[in-house]
Amino acid sequence: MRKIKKIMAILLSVIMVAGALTGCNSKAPVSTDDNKSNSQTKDSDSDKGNETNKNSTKDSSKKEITIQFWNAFTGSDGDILREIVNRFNKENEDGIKIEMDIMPGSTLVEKLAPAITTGTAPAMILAGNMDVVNYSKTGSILPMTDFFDITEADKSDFTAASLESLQYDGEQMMIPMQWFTQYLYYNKDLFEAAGLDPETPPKTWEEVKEFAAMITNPDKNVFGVGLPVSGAVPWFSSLFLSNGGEILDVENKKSLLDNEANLKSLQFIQEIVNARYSPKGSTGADLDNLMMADQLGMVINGPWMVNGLRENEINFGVAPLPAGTKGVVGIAEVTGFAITKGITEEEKAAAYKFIEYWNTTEICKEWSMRNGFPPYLASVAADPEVQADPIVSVFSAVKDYGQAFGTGLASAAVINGDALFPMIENVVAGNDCQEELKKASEKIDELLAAD
Amino acid sequence: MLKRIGAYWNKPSKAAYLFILPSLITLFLFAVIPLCGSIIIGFMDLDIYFSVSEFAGFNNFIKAVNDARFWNALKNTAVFALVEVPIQIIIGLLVANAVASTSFFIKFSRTIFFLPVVCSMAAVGIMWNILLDGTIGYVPYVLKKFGLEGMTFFRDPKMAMGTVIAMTAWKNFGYTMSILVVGIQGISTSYYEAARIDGASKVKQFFYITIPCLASNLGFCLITNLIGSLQVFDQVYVTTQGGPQYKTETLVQYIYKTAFSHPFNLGYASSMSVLLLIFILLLSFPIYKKVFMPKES
Repeated sequence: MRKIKKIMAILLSVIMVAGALTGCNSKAPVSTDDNKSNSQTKDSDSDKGNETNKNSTKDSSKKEITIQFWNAFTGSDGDILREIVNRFNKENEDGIKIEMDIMPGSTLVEKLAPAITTGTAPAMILAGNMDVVNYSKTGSILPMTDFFDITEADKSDFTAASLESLQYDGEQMMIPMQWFTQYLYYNKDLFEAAGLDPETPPKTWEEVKEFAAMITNPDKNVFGVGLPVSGAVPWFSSLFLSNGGEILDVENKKSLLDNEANLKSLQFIQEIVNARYSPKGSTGADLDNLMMADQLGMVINGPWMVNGLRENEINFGVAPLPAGTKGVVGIAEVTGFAITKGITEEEKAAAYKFIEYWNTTEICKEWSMRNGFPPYLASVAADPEVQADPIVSVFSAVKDYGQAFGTGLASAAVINGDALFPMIENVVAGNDCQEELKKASEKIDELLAAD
Repeated sequence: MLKRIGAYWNKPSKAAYLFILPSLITLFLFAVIPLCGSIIIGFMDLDIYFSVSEFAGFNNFIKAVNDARFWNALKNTAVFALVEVPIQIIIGLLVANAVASTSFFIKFSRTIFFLPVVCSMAAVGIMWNILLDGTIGYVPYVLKKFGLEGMTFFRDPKMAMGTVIAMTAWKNFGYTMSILVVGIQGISTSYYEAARIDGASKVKQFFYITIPCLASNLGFCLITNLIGSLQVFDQVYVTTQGGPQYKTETLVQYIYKTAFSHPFNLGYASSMSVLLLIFILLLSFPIYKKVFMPKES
């Protein structure tokens, strides 16, 4: 009896230690096994039965390969991306499986850096054009200049601006996945309730303020416009630039923020908040919730908001950004596919196959039509169906007023996060505009000095 | 040979080491090695990609001393610890005193009070974030009915730290309560009987019997809660991310941001970790000495 107890105790200890050690293994499950059916996880496939049948019909001489794919598509557009990835997994003839992991953008940044250092990074990621320099300088991502030589993707079909914004030091560091700028979303029902024409959105920032005053209804907790202080698109940069206020001198790595035009723009923001036309101190997510709850008249956001509004059956309209004293300007952003340091040739080839698949007219058109993203491929832009879509046609204004921000700077994204957003937060909280402008300008100079 | 080894380790005095060996190995792997690593990295100019690695001497420590954001984070951490810990212990003590008996209803109440402790801080943070949201939250909605308009809690620079403290105390007081309940149940009933005969009121019994008899339990709660509070991170990460206007940014939050987002400066983050370690030692050691090391008579 005692012996049995001893044996049981030893066995239990062994199992516990083995369990603990297994739990410690954080290596991303990347492999090139011939028989991979037992390692399918997460998004790779929902229908394993079908998958097994499909595998059996594939060319048995082809080696199966699984690659990891990290991105920050946490919105409803992520569901469409997931669907396309799953379809690729089922349809491709090369035995490629993409295992996709979606996480918030800040989490992706925090996880990716140690993953690259420890050799556990995914083969493929999605990142923004503002990350190109930083990731390239640290060697986190590899050049993809050979993409157009290796694959059948047609380089001439890509809008030149979308490719150029993803280049560094003469190399193509990422391949476009989507491009966009910011747009004005408005709630047609609230416009109507305020006595405004739901088919006539504001054309200038002054009109935004006027309309917001009419829409705001404190009794019903309805706000006229949302001005987020964090976790949002850099809407304020569009306001600054459209009023003639410069932000950066990229060539000389100097801040131009502290100027009269920007001061007026900040005072304009403060006036709206002080009049309670906008909720104070709200984040982008807070305002999304308000918009989905029919409690917000207008907000500036990217194309990904369309699906959420449709799903929540909000009667909404989309319009180009309002004009300032110098016209309309929006910050154009490009999301691109990147391959990470340390991947094998097989993984790189598999990633290229998926990126090639994504950049076909068929898939890009689907992404545009279902999500509203403006097309960056000429073949998609020329498609009559795409041209006739009312939302895509508004979103296509990116080519008219989209302007890149901080191209060539490693600190472009940090300037937004550490200098501009805190400035807006402080101004919305009621701090002195001139003082905040000066502080933010000094912070930008400090960041640019270390660039 | 095997028998001799078996006999050697079978002695109670030796077997004890075998029992604590797994804990010692875990501590060594996950506490001692990282701690030594942090101290070494603190003296280096090292980024997370290991693309830069040079000996920096005391530069990182000097940088921290001259960094206004470091001092702001340290101040926020100290405020959090010095306010949250007493609140948690006082509430825990009062509730423990009320729920120390063993009737079914009291046991049920204890379970209810302990429930937030077993919930993850992320879930609790998200829940309070929604409840206290200035525009869609239920609490501001009810307060508005009573004429208290415009309360934005986590988004208000003046209220954010207080809200984080209140939420943490609500979540954690059950832990203190459970330790103190065990302590109270261990106090001999004869003390209370003697006090009752002498005519001592319930309040006097609480102050002159319960609290003195709980000194070591309270000391344990004080030290563990204080150390935990000085390392406060997850509730801030989930609810405010250190905002608004850095009013809730704690030292661990700042260390984390420095290491794992731009500028990915492991050296500087590690030097701040070492300073935090010194800060925790300076605060907790005198308490430990006072509570657990009786004076020689």
